Amino acid sequence: MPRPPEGPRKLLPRMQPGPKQAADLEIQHHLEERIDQLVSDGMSRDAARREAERSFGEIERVERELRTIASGAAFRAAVATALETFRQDLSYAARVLRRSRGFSALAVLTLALGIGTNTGLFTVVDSVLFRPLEIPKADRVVQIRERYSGSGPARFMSAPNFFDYLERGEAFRYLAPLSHTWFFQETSAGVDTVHVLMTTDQLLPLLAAEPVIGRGLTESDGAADAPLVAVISHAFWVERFGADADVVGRTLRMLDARRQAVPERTIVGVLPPEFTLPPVRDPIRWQARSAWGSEVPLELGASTAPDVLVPPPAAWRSEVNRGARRIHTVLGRLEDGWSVKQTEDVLSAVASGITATHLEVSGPESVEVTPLPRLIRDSYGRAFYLLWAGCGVVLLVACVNLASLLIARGLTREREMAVRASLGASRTRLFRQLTTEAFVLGAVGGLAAIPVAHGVTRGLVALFPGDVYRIATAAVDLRALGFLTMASAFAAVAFGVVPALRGGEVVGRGRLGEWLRHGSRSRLGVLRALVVGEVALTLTLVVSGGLILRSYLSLTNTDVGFEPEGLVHFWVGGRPGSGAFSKYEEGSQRAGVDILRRQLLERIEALPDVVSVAEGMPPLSGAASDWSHTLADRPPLAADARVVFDTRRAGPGYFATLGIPLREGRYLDEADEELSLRTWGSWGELRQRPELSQADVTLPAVVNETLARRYWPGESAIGKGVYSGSVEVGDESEGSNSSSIVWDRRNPPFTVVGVVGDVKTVGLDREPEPTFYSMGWGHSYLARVRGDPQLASEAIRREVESFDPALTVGGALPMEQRIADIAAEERFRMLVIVAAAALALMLAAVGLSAVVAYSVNQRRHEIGVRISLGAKRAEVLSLVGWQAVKLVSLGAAIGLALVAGLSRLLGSFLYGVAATDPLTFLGSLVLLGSVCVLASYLPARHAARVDPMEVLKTE
Amino acid sequence: MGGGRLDLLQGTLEHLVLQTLKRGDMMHGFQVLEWIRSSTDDDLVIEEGALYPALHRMEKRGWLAAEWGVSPKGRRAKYYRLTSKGRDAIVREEGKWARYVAAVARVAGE
Repeated sequence: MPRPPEGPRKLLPRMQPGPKQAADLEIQHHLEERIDQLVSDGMSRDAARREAERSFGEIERVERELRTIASGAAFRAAVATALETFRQDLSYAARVLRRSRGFSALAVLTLALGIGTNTGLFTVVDSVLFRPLEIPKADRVVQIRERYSGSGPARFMSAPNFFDYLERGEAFRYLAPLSHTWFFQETSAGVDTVHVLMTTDQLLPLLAAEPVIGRGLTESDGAADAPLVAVISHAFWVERFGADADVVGRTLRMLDARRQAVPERTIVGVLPPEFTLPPVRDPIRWQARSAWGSEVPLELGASTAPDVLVPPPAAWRSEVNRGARRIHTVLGRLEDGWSVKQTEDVLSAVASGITATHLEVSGPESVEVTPLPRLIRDSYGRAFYLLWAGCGVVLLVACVNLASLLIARGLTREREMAVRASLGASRTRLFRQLTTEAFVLGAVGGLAAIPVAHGVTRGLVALFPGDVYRIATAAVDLRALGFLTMASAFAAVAFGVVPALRGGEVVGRGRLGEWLRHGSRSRLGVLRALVVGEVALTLTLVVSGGLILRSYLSLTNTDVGFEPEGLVHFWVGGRPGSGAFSKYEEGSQRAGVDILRRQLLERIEALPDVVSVAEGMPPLSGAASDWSHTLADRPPLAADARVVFDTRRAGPGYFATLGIPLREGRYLDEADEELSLRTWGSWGELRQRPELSQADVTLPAVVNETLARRYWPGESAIGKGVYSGSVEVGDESEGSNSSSIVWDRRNPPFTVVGVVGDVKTVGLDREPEPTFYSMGWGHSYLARVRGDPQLASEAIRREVESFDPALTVGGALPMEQRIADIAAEERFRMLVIVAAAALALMLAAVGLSAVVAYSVNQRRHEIGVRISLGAKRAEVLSLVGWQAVKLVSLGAAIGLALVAGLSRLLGSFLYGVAATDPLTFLGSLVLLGSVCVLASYLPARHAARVDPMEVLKTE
Repeated sequence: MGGGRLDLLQGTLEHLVLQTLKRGDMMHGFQVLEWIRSSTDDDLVIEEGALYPALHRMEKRGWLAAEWGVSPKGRRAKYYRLTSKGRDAIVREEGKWARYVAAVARVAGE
């Protein structure tokens, strides 16, 4: 064993080799030691050097290897240094932000609100619109709608038309009709509704759904003599059948709207739990509520999740129904290789065929085919994008505001920056420092935004009126958090980088003194630009908010054509299970109508709270029923002979009770009702009599102004004949080409006896449609009441129940409530945009105030001198104020230009107010102006109080 | 062990360096080399240049600590010393070494 070597002596620090020479020196040392050794062994120095280098090996290769090892270490060291610097910046930033708690809290709050609301809207929009549909190849699923001349896509389709399309449906793999109706069931808790969907065997394969138990509908289920079957939903199966595995073969019992039992059905299958219908929301969204008009007092709530699927009655195929549009929606799945356009062409050809063949009804002109994804975008996109845009602008305003606050604050920190710069901090270091501060704010703001986003999402889901597809699934998830992170980063860049660039510009060491005295003029310029931007953005929001507010007001104050105040709608039906209602519907139903209409209504009318009561369909109930009619005074082949009217029931006193004005002729009265009921009641027998003439059996009808004006312009509608349903075209005189309409006796003819004012029947923002009123059987009532409609409704209920304990009242709903419900989405949209505008206005006020305060601070010296030279306070005020006015005016001008550019976009959301409404613009300007004046007055007043002595002393 | 000198197997060099510095001495590269050579009675061939990358690697790994000092001959030299991390490494390496030797012995078949 060799003896241990002697240890080293200390090396003076200045003798330490640098990193580059160290490796070289180490190798040289080795060689020298070896040479010494060899020389002492007796070798010549030259030979020793050669031997040393030989035994060392390739010196260059070793050096290279050492460098590689060293550089790896260097990279790691650089990373460590950067991390350390970042840590320092971070803790410094945290210290700075902690020191100015007020500012930090304000910034974090603003960011949390801005980012949180945007993330909340993203979350909702994401689940409603962005996520792919659960249906496989959803872009091949289409909705089919007919177009009639001169109007948009028709709401509903007649069943015989549908079967014609189906027959020629080589473009489709599947084509299915959807028609919603409501039944009832007695449960332990009372009466529950059952949402029944009439459809065919093609619906399930179309949506790629398979029953989990039993089978779906089959083609033979729809046959006239087929046993009545039903497929039930998974939820319905669990809830009403206790998830019975042997449910197939059990009986489904339901009641109709009058609580009468309908024929029993045998259950043949259960749908999968995830089964929902595609979210087809018709442009007329009240379609969903049309059930209400047909006396089922329900909102079509979960319209995408029916409880029961049944085949349509075989009578749907009957030509008698050609004119009745019973199908709410038609869905198809396109055959491979067929485009939307090709399909439209083929179906439109079928439509022309229908129009040419069936002259008795108004025929479709063409067919429109819309892919599902576009349909959803059209239905829900509008509702959310405007809200999202509003929140986006608020976030922008918040960023601009923070940027100006940061700059204004940065100006007060100039001394600190300058001192740090003079102590050797580099420009990049200062830039990094300020950016770090911005990002710390952004990160904390983003974190604080998470609960806000959660709250906004929950709020939107809970408060958004109506039924929005998939909205219930919206929750702040990873996607939302990703969006939130991006929004926070965007915000940090937006509000942090410009001030940081400015801060990095801190003057070099030599100019410290000068700079401390004068500050930086260019930074004031940036600040002013930011204020201008903020004011411009805010004005766009304020104007939009104003327009939408006015639109909402004009919508809810729109003339609905009747007097909604104190008007209550209700219906009368039998108590569940009592079966008592049948006694009012016996025979030809006359007896029941007599009892109910005469005796019961008399008693209700005698109530102290009730002014009058009448039978009839309520207005604003959606498209009640579109029926084909034929105008008797037209040549049968005339283009406008076949028409579709919104056909409504109106009993005696209906128009007077609703406050619908009479324009011409007369209202319908008791004698008309008597005649109508007698004629209809014995129609089956009457129509057989050969001697019967039209004049003998014609029934009175009333039309609205729109109908009268459209079909009999320039002449009176009174006395005109209208055939309901279908008529035939026949040749009256032999050998002549002229043909005329032949009354086919299927229904009694109508004669117009009165013209009444237009009523909004479908929706508040819809123009009145041609409406045709006649008498019929029904138990939907409208009462005009005094005082509180709720109390009056209670009184009516008590009266009905004391009249016959087997009867009850349903759906008592004040019409004003109905109008509020219809306008709910508009109200919600209005509230959100107005809140966004108010928030932006507040932020702009804070921003402006900060800028004016800063500029006052900059001019303290000047102001002090002016005051000492005798300037009055008011002059100082106007001096400072004038600047603010200039900034605000410039911002407002840009803002007005922005709104003008957006007016077309905005116009589609407005009702009854133009997107360039001067009053709204003026009002917005005045509002913004006064807020700005207030925001700049306080700091300006501060300026006027400057004590000249103090200012001059500090010089 | 007869029949010429042995070539150095991969990884063995590091093992030898660690063993050399085990007693806690500070040595520069040449001293480490000479120590290995003399303690193995010149049986091992070490390409001298390969020693330095091995030293640097172990330094980076934290097994060795290095500092510049002045040698007894008055020259500037980089001195290496075993760290506690290096000591732990020896324990691990010795286990591996023992297994390695045993495995080679078994293959060679007595």
